[in-house]
Amino acid sequence: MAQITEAVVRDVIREVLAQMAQSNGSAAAPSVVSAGPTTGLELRELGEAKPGASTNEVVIALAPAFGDKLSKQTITGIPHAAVLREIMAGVEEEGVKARVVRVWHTSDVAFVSHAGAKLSGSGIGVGIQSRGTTVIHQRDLYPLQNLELFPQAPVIDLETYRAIGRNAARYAKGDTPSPVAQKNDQMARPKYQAIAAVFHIRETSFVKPDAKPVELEVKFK
Amino acid sequence: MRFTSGTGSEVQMAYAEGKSMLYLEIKCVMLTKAAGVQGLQNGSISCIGVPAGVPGGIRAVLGENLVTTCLDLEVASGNDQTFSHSDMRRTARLLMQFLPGTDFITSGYSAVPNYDNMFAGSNVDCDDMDDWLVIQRDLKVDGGLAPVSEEEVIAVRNKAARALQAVYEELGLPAITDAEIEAATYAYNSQDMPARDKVQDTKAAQDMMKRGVTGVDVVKALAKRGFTDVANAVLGIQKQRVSGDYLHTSAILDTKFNVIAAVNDLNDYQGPGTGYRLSGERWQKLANIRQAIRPEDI
Repeated sequence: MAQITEAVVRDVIREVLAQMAQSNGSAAAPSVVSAGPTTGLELRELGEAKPGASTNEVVIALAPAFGDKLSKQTITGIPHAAVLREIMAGVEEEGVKARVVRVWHTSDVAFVSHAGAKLSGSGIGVGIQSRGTTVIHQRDLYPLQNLELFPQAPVIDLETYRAIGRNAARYAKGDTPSPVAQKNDQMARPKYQAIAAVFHIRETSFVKPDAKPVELEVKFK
Repeated sequence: MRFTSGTGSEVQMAYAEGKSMLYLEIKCVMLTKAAGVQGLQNGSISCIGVPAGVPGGIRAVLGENLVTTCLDLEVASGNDQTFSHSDMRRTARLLMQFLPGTDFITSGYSAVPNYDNMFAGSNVDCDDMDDWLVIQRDLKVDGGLAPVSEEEVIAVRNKAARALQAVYEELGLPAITDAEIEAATYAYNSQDMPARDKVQDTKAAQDMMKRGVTGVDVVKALAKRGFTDVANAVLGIQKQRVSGDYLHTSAILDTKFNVIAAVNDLNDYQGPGTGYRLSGERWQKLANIRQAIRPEDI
């Protein structure tokens, strides 16, 4: 039996959509299927991030090097663009708005997330480090507390990032969701700890201790 | 009261400022002493992957434990976190503290399989217990474990599960079923256990905290349901928490809940052949591993 590849699936979808467009009498090109995975990310600074007024938002706070510096990938090579897209999609899937900010004054994921939570109209923030470590935070908690913590960057995949976005949105709406299921790899440290240290040292070199969080415009390419 | 530190933490947090890991750790050890704290957990601890990644790193880890002891502090000497897939490497690292002896050779030994270890993986887990017992015997070291029979273990596990079931019922927590008890008696890891409603358990735990349930309520529940010895054991621990005597340097509790510590059982080590020696009844007990064969039986 022939192997079904992703390319074959995309071809079939395009074909079906083209046929549907024809039968609808529409000449519109299908926009659902993108040409390839999201790897390109453009982040533009818009000015100092302000506290949000609406409770219908989650703030996604990026550590200093996330998205546009260094390798632009997590510790396991997942593109930052894909990570951010999944978290935002998860938030939006729940009918909540995703606002993205850059935190400059620290690379510590707890303090990055908490800064986001304090800016968020709902009080809910998600913080991500370049290596992929992620926290769902709430503004009334202490910095080193959290709603949900994802401490093993090597075991976080895109599906999990999507679920993190969804859960953050659910917290924003006042729900109490079941925590996102996590994998636990007791051998993650032998494989990744030294690499994680280097990742973090590089990210920390971009810290500007006196700089306030900045609102970002996000474009995926 | 014990602090914790360990080589590699400053590197991990990106603020080593160009200093050697061991230099930074010895500063932590000295600060611990200066603060008047009786002991320190070190030996890299959770950052062990960092010194293990550089030349001479495991030697530095032994160095930090030794300096702690030299400063007359209790040392809980690491050996608690995975850093290698190699059985030889993780044993070599362990023997640095195992053979000379420290107050606590491991500051954390995973009593569950690493699969269920929520502390990101232990250097030694329950699968290593037989090896641990044999190595105690090989090297004449009291490493804190004693040989037990399978029957004893099954009986204790079953009793513990039934005691928990009774306490949960008395405190109005979500029930533990008889199926869970049977599974828990023989289970290797969490995959052998029936699923529980985690959300309900979490809510019940939060509610329990709000209600102000204390250790005394647990003791009462155990006593009411006939687990008298367990009730006494829990009560004994609660009393220790009030007196705080077990917070003294190198403190342990004996079977009668007496505290044995550096203040009432002084370290009289004066050189080779002096100080604590494994001997007598305790040595006989540790030497008598279940796999031992008597010459008479051959």
